[in-house]
Formats: sequence, structure tokens, C-alpha cells
Amino acid sequence: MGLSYLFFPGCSYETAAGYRESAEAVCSAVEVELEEIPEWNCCGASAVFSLDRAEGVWLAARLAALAGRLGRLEIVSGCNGCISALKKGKKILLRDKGLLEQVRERLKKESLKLDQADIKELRVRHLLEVFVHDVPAQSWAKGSFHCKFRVAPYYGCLFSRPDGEIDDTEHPMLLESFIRLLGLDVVEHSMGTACCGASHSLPHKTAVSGLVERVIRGIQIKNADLAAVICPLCQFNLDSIQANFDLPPLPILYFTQVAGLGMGLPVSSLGLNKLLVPLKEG
Amino acid sequence: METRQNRITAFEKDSILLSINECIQCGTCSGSCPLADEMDHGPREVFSLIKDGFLEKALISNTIWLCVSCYACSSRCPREIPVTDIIYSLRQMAVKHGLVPKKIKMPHLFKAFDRQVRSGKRISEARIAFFYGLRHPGDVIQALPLSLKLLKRKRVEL
Repeated sequence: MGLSYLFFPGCSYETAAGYRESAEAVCSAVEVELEEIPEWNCCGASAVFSLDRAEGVWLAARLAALAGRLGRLEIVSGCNGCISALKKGKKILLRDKGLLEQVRERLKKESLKLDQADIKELRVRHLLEVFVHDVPAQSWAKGSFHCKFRVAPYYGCLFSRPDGEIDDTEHPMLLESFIRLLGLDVVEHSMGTACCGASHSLPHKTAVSGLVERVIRGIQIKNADLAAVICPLCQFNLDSIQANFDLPPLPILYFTQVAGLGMGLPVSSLGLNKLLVPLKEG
Repeated sequence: METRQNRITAFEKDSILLSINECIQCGTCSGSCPLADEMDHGPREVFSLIKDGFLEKALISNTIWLCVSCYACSSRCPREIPVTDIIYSLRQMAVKHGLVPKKIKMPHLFKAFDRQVRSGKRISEARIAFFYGLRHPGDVIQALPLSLKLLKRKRVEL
């Protein structure tokens, strides 16, 4: 019997380089069902929260209420930004009763409701946590391990910050565990939680190029074949900004694509053709 | 427009901002900040300005808008001050009181983003870039070669 989760894809999932394709292929192979939240909205990311706190909280609250309508107390996502925004909203709603009341009034217009108890119970998890903690370990060993990539794990900044709820804030190990479950080699390096520059890449191109160059250099010095990432913004910045400087190319794959390769799923099902820095067959 | 005194009173009512009083000026936040080099003042200095009564100077600095929200400072602060959340509060305060200098670009990107969320619940990167580009065409024009590559790989949603 398979596992089933309520899934919040987030706005970047569709345009991400093969995230949806590979996540669907891998989930189907390990019998994980991702049920998309109907009528979901954007999490607001750092943008909405920066301009208007109440509006940022409202976006998170609406997602929680949509989950509640289906009787679900758990939301799974594949985006660090979405997860962080949802957790931030949850934290503020538990502290600020006035704002919760405001939000509840607004939810009524959509016949949605949200109790404090529901918010308290709500769990927000990364798809990576599901893969490592919930999916039986032997499911990952199904493949023939015909690829032997040396994989550098990259979490980005937000995976377990600020409070270390999922993993250590400085040296998380979940992605390492996952890469090993797949039978691939983990490349140890010190850039795992260094920042990719996030949404600043458009207005502050030069500064963000510097951050990305540091990350790529720090990974390449350890002879990695590719990096595995868990967030669409990280993937986009690390993949696209490499064109700005002169280092050997480092393919940046989603952990779901790496899983597909490790399990020996058909390469054509993993959306690898969407990468800007192409993966050379290993 | 509110007076400076009113602003400080509002500031004192915000419990998150009050935690600035816990700051011991150790500089762990500035040392952890990936974009500190680009800032008018690092986060430590911003806290110092506020404690010394120069709130307005802190609000008009580029510091609060350069924060990438990576939470490295927050998770490392020995006094457990929610530094990143304070930056968010300062941003909201700067917007509310019209204290965002024109040359600072990030609020324009955030507004392009916010506008889409409010109108259609979801966002598209291409549309954000378009509306941001109306104010900063140079930034978007230099990203055109990249946009074409993304388009070719079906990574653009309009």
C-alpha cells in the first residue's frame, strides 16, 4: 500500500527544470501519491512579508485552511521558500490572536475556517523528509545503480533555519542520508547551507554572482560530478548564474532527478533536458 | 505623515523590535551575512543605530533591503534575537512611513511580486520580471539571453 500526501507545489514548480517530471516519476516508482491542494495560492515568499505582514500571514493561513477543509493536518512541499513562509505564518498566528481573528473573518468569505488548534497541529514538511523518513529504505534500492555519480548535497539557506526544526541549522545531513540510500557517492564540502542569493539575483546581479561562484568553487574543489538541490530558487540561481563566470560547468539537479538516476528510471522521464548546465552521461 | 516621535512610540510597541535591546554588539550577525559587504551598515551597526535613537537612519539604509532572508544571523545569534524577523519589521515600517529611498531596487521587485499575488493568487516569474523591468529596464535587458535559453527549455510560463 502506498503513502499519500497533501502537496503544495508552489509557483516555481511548473517552470523548474524538470522538478515536476522527476518528482512524479520517482513518486510513482516508490508508491508515493502527491495530491495537489485544490485552489492553492502563492506562499508570498519573502516579497509579501517584506511589504505587509498581515497579507503574508493571510496567504499561509489560507493554505492551512484549504488543508483543513480536506481534513489534513500535514502539507508537503518541495520548496524551501514555501515551507519557510508557511512555518513563519504559523508561528505568527499562534502568537497574534488579533491577526488570527482578522484572518478568520476573511476566510469566511470563501467558506473556509481555521481554528487555533488546527494551526498548532499543522505540520509542514519537505518532500525530502518524506523520502528519507517515510518511504521504506528498500524502495530506493530497487534500481540497478548503473550510474556512479559523485553527488554534492546542497540545501540552500532555508532548509532548517532558523530553528533547526528539521535538521541541524549549520550541518544538515538528510540529503547525505538520501544520496547514500540511492547507492551514490556523497561529496563532502562546506557550501551546503551557503546562500544562493535568492530573489536578489535580478536587481543585484554582481553581488549574487559572487555568492554563487563561491558555492560552485567550493563544490568543484572536492571533485563532484553534480550537485543535488532541494529548492527551485537554489536550482535556478546555481544553474543559470554559472554562465557569468569562468569555472568548469557543474550540473545542478533536483534530488528527485538524482533519485531517478540512482534508481535507474528512464532518463527521458526526469526532465534533464531542461537544465541549463547539461549533465554528461556517467 | 507621522512624526519621528510617533514612529518611535510605534516602534516600542512592537515586541519583536524590542528584542534589539538584548543585542550585545558581538557582530555574529554581520559576520554571517552573505551580503554584508554590499550594505551601508551591517546588521550589528543597524541595531546600534536604533539603540542610539537613529531609527530613521536605519530605515533608509540599504541594509534592510539587501537582507536575503537566509536566517544565518538568526540561527547563530548568541542572544537568540530574531534578526531576520526584525529586518522584516523594519521593512514594513519603512514602507508604511514612506522611508524607502528611490534608488533601492528590491522593493520594486517585491511590489511586482505582491501585485500578482493579490490579483491572481499565483505568480509567474516572467510577469514579475516584466513589471520590475518597467522601472529597471537595464536589469531585465541584460537577462534576455538567459530568458531565451529558458524559453527554449519550456521553463517560462506567461
